[in-house]
Amino acid sequence: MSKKLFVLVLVVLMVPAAFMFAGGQQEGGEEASNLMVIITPDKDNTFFTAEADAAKAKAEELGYETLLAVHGDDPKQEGDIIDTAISRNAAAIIIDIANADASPNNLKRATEAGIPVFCMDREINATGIAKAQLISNNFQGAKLGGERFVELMGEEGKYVELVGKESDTNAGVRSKGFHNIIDQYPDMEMVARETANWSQTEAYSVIESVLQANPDVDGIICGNDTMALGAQAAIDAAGKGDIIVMGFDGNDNVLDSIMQGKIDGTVMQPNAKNAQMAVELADKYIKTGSTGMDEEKILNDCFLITPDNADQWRGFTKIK
Amino acid sequence: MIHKSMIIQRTLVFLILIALLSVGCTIKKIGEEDKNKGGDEYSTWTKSGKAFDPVAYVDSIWDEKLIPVFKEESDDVNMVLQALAEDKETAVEQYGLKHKSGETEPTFKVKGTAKVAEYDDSSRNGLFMLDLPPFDGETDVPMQVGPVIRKTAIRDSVSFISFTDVGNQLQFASLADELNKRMKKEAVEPLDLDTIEGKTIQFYGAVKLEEGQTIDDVVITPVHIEVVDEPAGEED
Repeated sequence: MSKKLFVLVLVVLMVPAAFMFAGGQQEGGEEASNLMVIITPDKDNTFFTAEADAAKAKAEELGYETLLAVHGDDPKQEGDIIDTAISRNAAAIIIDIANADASPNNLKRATEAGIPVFCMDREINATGIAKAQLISNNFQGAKLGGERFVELMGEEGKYVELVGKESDTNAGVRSKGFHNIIDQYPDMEMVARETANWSQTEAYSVIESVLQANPDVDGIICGNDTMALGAQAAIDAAGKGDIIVMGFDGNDNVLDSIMQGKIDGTVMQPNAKNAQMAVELADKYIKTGSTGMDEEKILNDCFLITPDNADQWRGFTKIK
Repeated sequence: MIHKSMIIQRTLVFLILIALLSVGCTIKKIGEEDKNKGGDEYSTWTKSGKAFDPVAYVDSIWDEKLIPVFKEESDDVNMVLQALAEDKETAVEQYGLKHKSGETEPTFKVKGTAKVAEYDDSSRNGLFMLDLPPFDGETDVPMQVGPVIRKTAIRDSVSFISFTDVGNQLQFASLADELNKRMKKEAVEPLDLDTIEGKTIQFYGAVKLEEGQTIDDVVITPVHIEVVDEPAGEED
């Protein structure tokens, strides 16, 4: 009896082993495709569409076919897209990940299937999985925005912070960056800290009610540009034009608003550059087996946008 | 007899299974080797518990590595400023440190002697307005002394600190903050700020030029300040 059981256990063990064997064979036999799968979080936010467009344009310029997909900040959906990429035997995956802690497991599945992964914008809390990570230094950018905000406020006054979607690591990173600076100024008083989930309409209604409760607010610092646009619209509607508004991302609508003297500043993310570099490194890796870089993580700094330089940028790219 | 043949049969099945299993194992191993080819082992910094400790790290490098690197590698502040005034690119080439990875803007390590022409504490980002030799009473360059210290010049001016070694951008930023904090303790706190105006100091410091910045935006972040015209014995 015990021997029978032993055989049974071995058979059970054999099934996955045989699968692994079959998988290995299949992998070796099939030609690598010419497909780059480009995965971004959202197709409604211009920040992410610009990133996807920049990656797509660079990939096509280098002769690749592309497949674009969005994961909606959902690691499960991200996993499904990666499985699709694996089944289509993609040449590389270019991704702006869903979650710093949950995504590494998804990415690992791709690398174990022999597909190199390149991260752009957001970083994963792991090294040794992605071949390269081209990261927007959100914390540095938030500190830059925080410094400018404090300067515009004259180092004192009442302010409101609009925070992004909680599930997105960068919402917390930016908030920490803002406070890293602002909290060093004891005369800066935060009267409200609310989330508006990266949304323009939510930001409008949040600021509308905050201004009713606190009519003497001097400034609003926002975790991204769409929320800054919503905040500025609520300020305009309330007829309080002198409230300082700071955004984050550098989208074209905010650049226009800055040039019109409404929104006071934003932080430009190097997102087109990250996307292009990710594709270029992927191409190099596919052709030579190496990215040629000493380090996996490459941290690209953000830039401060003021009325003086707002006209130098379009589509997250420096044009002047 | 039946019993014996069954045992043989089972032994055969067993051997085949072992063979198959070992084939499976081999393939998995190749996969692992492949994924390690890229460099480090998997290291999750937030979950593994080996979170980066900026205080301990700065303790371990400040006296032993950082200050010696500044003493050894700093260039005369006047020379660097002059080079920057002429042409930024050439100055970066000659005196600057450009990090190997990423697009970090260039940094400079500088040293010099200066008179504190003015101590401007109107902002929390307090500044010494420095008059460099020849002493003509004019301010040549500001040096930030806090209590708020801006930016990451100290962290970014030494080549032995790299982003990949530190983990993620928050930890990398906490390292810069800790270096700035340590600088205030070592270089600024021992000074008597009420009587600093008019005194001559010797210093080592870092300069980082952000995107688009020119010589007009240079602010020195000190790592070491020593008042030199005090009566002997008052300063050590």
